[in-house]
Amino acid sequence: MVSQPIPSELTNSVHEPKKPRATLRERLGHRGERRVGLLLSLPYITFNAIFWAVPFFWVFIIAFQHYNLLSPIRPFVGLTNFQAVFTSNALRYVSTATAEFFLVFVPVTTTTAILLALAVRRVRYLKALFLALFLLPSVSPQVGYSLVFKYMFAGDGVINHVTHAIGLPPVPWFTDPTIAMGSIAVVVAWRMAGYFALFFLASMQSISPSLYEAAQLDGASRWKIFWRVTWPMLNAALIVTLVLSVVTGFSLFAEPYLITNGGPLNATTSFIMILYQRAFNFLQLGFGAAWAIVTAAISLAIVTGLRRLLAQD
Amino acid sequence: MRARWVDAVSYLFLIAGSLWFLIPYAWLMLSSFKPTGQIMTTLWPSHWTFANYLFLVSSAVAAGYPFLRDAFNSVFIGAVDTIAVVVFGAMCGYSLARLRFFGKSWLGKFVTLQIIFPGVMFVVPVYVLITDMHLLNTYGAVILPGLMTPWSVFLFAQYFRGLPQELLDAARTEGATEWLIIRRIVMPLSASIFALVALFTFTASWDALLWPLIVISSHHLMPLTPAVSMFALSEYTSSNFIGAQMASAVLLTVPLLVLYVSFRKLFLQGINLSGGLQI
Repeated sequence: MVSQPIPSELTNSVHEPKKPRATLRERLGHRGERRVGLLLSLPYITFNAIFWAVPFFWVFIIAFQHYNLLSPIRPFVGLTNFQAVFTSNALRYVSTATAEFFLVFVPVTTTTAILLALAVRRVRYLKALFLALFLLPSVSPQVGYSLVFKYMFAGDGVINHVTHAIGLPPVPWFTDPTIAMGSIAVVVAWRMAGYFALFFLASMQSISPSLYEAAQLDGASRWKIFWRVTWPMLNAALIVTLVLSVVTGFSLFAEPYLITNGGPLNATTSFIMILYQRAFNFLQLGFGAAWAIVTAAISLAIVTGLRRLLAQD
Repeated sequence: MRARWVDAVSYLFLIAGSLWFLIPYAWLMLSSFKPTGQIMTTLWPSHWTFANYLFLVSSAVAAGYPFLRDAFNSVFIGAVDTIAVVVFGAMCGYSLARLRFFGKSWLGKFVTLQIIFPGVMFVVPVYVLITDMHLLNTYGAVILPGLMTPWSVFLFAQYFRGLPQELLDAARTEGATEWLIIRRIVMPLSASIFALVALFTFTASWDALLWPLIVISSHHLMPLTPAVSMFALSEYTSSNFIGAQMASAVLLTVPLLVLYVSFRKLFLQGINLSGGLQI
């Protein structure tokens, strides 16, 4: 996932806010407008009927079929595929691995991003350069930096050489199952932390300076000013970055695929990796479809919960 | 009240952060010019070599990894998708933002729905669709599903909604047709959003791994991203070929870096659009 400017859809919606009900003529517009409007959106509607709406329903049909690419017979098998998903070992270890990912990724990115934003808001020189560097990793090809981190953090890689030089024992970053997913999370955090910082910075910039002046006049400490004035205003940015974190965690693929290939002992296998293995290596599309639906349902449930939190503010 | 030490800590933290962001690139570039034996052990190459790059354009090609051809594939696929996403996204976004027509509010809800549902759901059925269209292992398999994206419609609609209504109304009173308004008023005012959507689309297309990996098996039709990843996981995964892997990673990374450095203002503006960032 390249960092696209998506987050606004979380706070806005495409359709306009409700206005008082207009007359029919107002709602339908002039004749020319009507024709042009429909003409302009027709390609999009047609295309997405085929490549979005049809697959949207089709995935549910496939999930109820025994759909193996090698066999032309695709009988309906009821809930068998979902049963297979829920009783599979894969769901257990992938859930554990994904939870571990969030456990490391969320604190690391959130702390780093807030500190980066606080720092860059403060400085006067080189601001543009720092901002440009923040976004640099998130537009960098995933396959490229995954290979870099794979060898930098390898058992005999440069990081362990450096730590050895200062007298620390080597760390098996990607080969010890207890820390491998944490290491992957740090790699992904490298990509996302600066990007997240930009959201926190935008929130901070929206705080009126008079609030800070008032707090300073009252003699509040720096620490107190951060927690009482700045922190409450970061709520929206926090939820947006949390939603992006969830999306990142559930679409994780390139990093574990290249660095660990899901190992050691499946400790870094992600939801998408199982989809890839089962549907396209083992050609079990029925299982793959059911797996994809379960994955989507879990991530959607979490994202919806987070958006509720945002709406409450 | 400006405390010096807070400034100092801020700069220190930003410099540390910048190093954290930059070191992997430095290591990548240096490694690609090192003799393979030195990559894991030495920071600075004892002598610079082009052997890794020569390997990419000779031995790797002979072994079935035509990297330059794959780079061309990436550019071609990315260009077609980018042009389509920009053209159709702008059309649909404009109609949503600025025109009244039957079904408009449904279309708006549909686009929101598309953005909400995760892409993972669509991998299997779109694969079946592409297979049934007999497009597997063709450019079409990669290009077709990326021709139109909901988030481009969303961004265009958001931007066009910000254009002053009086301008369009004035033109309409003067008797201008809708097409004339779009071509003479809307388009010239919207160059930045067109560039922005184009940049993000091309970057995303260049970076795509999972989908091309699934639908393309021929190394001659493959984009660069899956090609580099297959090379790194193939028989060339052994430590003798780390140098060549690094050179292929450079080939993959540098074009996007150049794009980013040239258009960094626009990329940052993309975040600005949604977050209200002041640069």
